[in-house]
Amino acid sequence: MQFLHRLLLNPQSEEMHVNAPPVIVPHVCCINIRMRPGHLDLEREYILGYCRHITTEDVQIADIKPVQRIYLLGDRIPDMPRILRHLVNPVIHEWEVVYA
Amino acid sequence: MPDPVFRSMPLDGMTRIRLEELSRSMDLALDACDMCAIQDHFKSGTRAPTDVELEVIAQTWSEHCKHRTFNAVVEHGAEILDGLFKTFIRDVSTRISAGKGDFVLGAFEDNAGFIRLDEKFALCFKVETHNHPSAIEPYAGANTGLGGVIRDILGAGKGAKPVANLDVFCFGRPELSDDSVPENVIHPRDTMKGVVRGVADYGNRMGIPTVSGAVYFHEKFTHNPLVFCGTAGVIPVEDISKRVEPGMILVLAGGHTGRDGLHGATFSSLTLDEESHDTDRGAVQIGNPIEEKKLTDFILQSRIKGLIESINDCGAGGISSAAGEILSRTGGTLILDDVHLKETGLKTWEILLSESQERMILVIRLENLEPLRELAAVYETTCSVIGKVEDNGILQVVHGGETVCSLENSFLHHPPVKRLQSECRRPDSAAPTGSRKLKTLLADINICSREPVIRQYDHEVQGNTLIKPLAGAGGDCPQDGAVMQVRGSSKYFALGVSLTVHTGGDPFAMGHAAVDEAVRQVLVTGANPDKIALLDNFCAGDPRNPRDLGPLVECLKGLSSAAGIFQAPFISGKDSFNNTYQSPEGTESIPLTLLTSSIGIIDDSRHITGASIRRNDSLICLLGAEYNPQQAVMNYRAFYEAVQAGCILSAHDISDGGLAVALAEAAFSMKAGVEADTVQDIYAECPGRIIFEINAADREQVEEVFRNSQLSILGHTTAAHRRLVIRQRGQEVVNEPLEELKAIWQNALKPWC
Repeated sequence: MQFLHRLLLNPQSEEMHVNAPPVIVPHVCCINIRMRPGHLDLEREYILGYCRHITTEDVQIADIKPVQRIYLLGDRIPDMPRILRHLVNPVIHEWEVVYA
Repeated sequence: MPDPVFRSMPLDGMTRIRLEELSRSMDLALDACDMCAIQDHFKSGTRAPTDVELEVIAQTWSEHCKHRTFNAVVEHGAEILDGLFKTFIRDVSTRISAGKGDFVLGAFEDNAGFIRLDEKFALCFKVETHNHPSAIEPYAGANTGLGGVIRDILGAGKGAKPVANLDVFCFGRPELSDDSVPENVIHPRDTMKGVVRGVADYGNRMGIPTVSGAVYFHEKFTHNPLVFCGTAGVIPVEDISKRVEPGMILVLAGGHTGRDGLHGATFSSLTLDEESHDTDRGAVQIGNPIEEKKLTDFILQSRIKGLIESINDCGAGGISSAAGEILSRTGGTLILDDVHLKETGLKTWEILLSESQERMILVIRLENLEPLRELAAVYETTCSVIGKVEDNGILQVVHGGETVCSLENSFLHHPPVKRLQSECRRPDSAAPTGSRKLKTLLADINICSREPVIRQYDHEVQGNTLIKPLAGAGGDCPQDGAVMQVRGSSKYFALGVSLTVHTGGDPFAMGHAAVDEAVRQVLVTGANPDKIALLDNFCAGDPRNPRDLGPLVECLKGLSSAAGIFQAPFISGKDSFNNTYQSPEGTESIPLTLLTSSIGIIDDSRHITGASIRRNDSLICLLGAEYNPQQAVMNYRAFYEAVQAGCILSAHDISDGGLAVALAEAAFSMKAGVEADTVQDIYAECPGRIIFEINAADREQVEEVFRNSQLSILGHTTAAHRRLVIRQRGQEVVNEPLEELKAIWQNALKPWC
């Protein structure tokens, strides 16, 4: 865990939750978005690049799959196709909608 | 040794229809004539082509790589035009350049055009388009568009240093409702956000300032946005000429090769449609600016150490295109076994045509391989030997010990000449009229401040930007050209852009106006009118449609005529066709769009001039009246004389919105109120006009300099108020507080960014 904190967290501006329930409650749903396989994921590249400099003998990271999570707040289920149209591009993204 | 993955593709006996079907099924974007020419070529041999060969031919013969439309024979009414490029761009530029000594050091041969800055340094300049990828994925499309043109500069000469970027966009109207945009088309608002972010992320992270640009909105760009990306570079004059000789080796440097961006070159020859988002996935690349930064530093150091003989960037068509161009005169062999791959299982043609980003091919002498590898290690980039130069005139590709491609350059680089027809009736030029109001114009999203876009770019990194896109007393006033210094030189250079869109009117006049505005953009910053060079970038619809091609031909005539009159040669350019969208209602083309970019030399730092009013006791002058190009040339020469005499405090070109908007923009420095009186239509947008500010004490001297020019003293600046007051023949037509006008102008684009 200590390694993951060093790798992923900017302690000045971020907090980290591991296997925690959704951070924002209540919410109507959340959308998980990640890059399609085969497309360059710059976030992944930067993390792996940084990882190479801090890797220890105990922990080696072979690969990671960053996922962006967007929470939708409100009192009713929104017009998801319209929202998704502005948030994801099927050319490069995979996504899932998880309702609360 | 990896196994080559390729197949034989017998074409014998295939009808034209079957050949066309084959082209479609392989996404080759070749028409029946091209396919028949390939069939005929292989008939004379003893074997069928491989799929690798068909892919290499399709890439080489693509509109993107061989400019088939600009090299076609065009029947234009009763005229037969043997090549639009040759007739209207190259020949006129060659004549102009011949009269300018050694100012033009290279045009239309290398990856960019070159002009002389001083005895030691040359400047190079290139603008590319990345329209189709940006329509499919705006962020990645724009991002790699800029990355690609930066590599063009790295691949110019033996490796120029990129020092400034420019970006010009055409989008659909951002206020369109979601329902009026087809489901599978990205809304113009999202396209704009993605494109701007893509450019900013790449340019900023590369550490190259974005100093100039334009944004234009029109409903015809909803399905086909246009993204122009340009880069200027600096290189020692002695490093311009390249050398490719038998015995030298080819080295691939930079990023690894994967499946991204397959068929990008041929993709740009196709029409977008409702399925494009689902089917064109392979054509989308995503850029990695950090990788390109490392590659850039590696190349510049390699050039300084004298390790590079020639260099080319892997853009559209990947290794096939880059190495194919390098070996087009000599011939040579590519060996794909040592190409660094991102993933396993790539077919041979995929390795050859992959458009994975951040890769360059270097030609070096064998004895320089070790020092090159050592440098690559220092800059944390990869380099591997992928071929050798020979003198057999054949492009040969070997994979896994097998020859998968063997094509004579004489065939590969000479595609069949297309014959096209065009039609265009030149309407009378309609002068813009109407009861327009200044506030309405300032709030127009095609006129208002581009600040929300500009602020996303770093325009100061490298520390050489002297006139930024926003300047003036508050640092928020629009400027015309950007001015840059070059370390180690006492000269400066200016970059300007003129974006013209054919939404009606006379395309010939459009071509003229484009050159005039591009020249004025750098002239008003202090550039020497004898040291201005131009780039042309055309975007149009389907060249097989005579009504799409006709306006282009007429526009080229105007462009060519104006270049001759202003003695401003073209040194580089690029065209983009097939900007069409197929919907159930039919095919829609974009309007003919021309970006004319200018680069001009400023001989003395004292000549550098901004566009914002500086004094509250100065005179405001208007140069030019009804557009007459010959008179405009005289006007501009007189203007430069006044610049050299130190008479010009500030100068601004008159463009969209006419004199009224130009005066308002100049006055937004808030240094003074402005009172002007004119006989001209204050909203007319006719070309050839400049407003400038002088000290009242210099009036006599200025009038003497402009004795043969169309000069009028419009009015004066004043400390008495901060208003814009314009009278027409003595009658007040505008009297507004500058603060209010500026707020309208500054805020109009913000809701959409």
